[in-house]
Amino acid sequence: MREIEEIIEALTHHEDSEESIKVLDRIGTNCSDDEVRELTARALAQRNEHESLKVLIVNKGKGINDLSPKVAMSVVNEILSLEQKEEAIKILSDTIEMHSDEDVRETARSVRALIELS
Amino acid sequence: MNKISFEGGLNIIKNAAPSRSKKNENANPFAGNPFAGNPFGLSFNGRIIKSDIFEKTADTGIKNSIKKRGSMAVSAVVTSLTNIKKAATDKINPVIKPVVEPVVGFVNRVREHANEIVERVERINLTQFRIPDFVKPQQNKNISKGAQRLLDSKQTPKQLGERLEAIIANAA
Repeated sequence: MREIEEIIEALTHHEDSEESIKVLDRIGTNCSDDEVRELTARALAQRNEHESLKVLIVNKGKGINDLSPKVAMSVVNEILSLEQKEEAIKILSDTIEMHSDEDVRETARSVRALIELS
Repeated sequence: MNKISFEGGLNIIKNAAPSRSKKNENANPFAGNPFAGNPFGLSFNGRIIKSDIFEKTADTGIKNSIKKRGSMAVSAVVTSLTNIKKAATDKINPVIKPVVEPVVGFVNRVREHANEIVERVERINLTQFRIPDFVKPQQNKNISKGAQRLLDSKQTPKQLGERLEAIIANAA
């Protein structure tokens, strides 16, 4: 597990942002292991970029919409602890207004409410 | 007590002490107006302005947010219990059955009372509401030695991904 953590951490800080996000999305967020999904999702939140946050907010079954409440809450916590939340709030607002899935819209609404309260 | 009258019925009561009418003395503090007793000494045709402002403006946003937060908590409980129920019932294990049945009952009760739970959350004294500390974990911004070594090795994300995939595959 330690090696997995180190690779995910390296991808969190890698200068090739676009490729790193693609790798984290393709491998990590689709992994059957809850712990790997949690680590990956937190890494994507920490990157705090449009594409990485989009993966966590608009995809059903990933990030804040993960089927595991532990993973989902962990991602929510990570988003809440970001110093700059503007991009996250923008994506959450767009999701609330435009996403076709009611569950995804509802979760985004809840997370935005938490950000407003924090 | 000095009263200053203005046109339109606005009265400012100077030096008004927080007072309650006899009717309000035994009232439930959580029912109705939390500002009963006019502690601010400001009234408009007998109505408490501060209370009206609080209830109609600032309060609304907070109440809505808490309602969503309550819904989310209930939803998380229902989801995790539903997952337990599904995992157990899929296998129809007679040993697990006595354990599952109360869980199923609990899930159904949570669903039935979800709205009531949210309403109760709404009734919580908003002035005492605080987001618990666990919601804001401290971020560790230091990079571990292992991760730094990987970054120094100048491997591409693709290479790191291949290695990650291999480790996950071996672990499974």
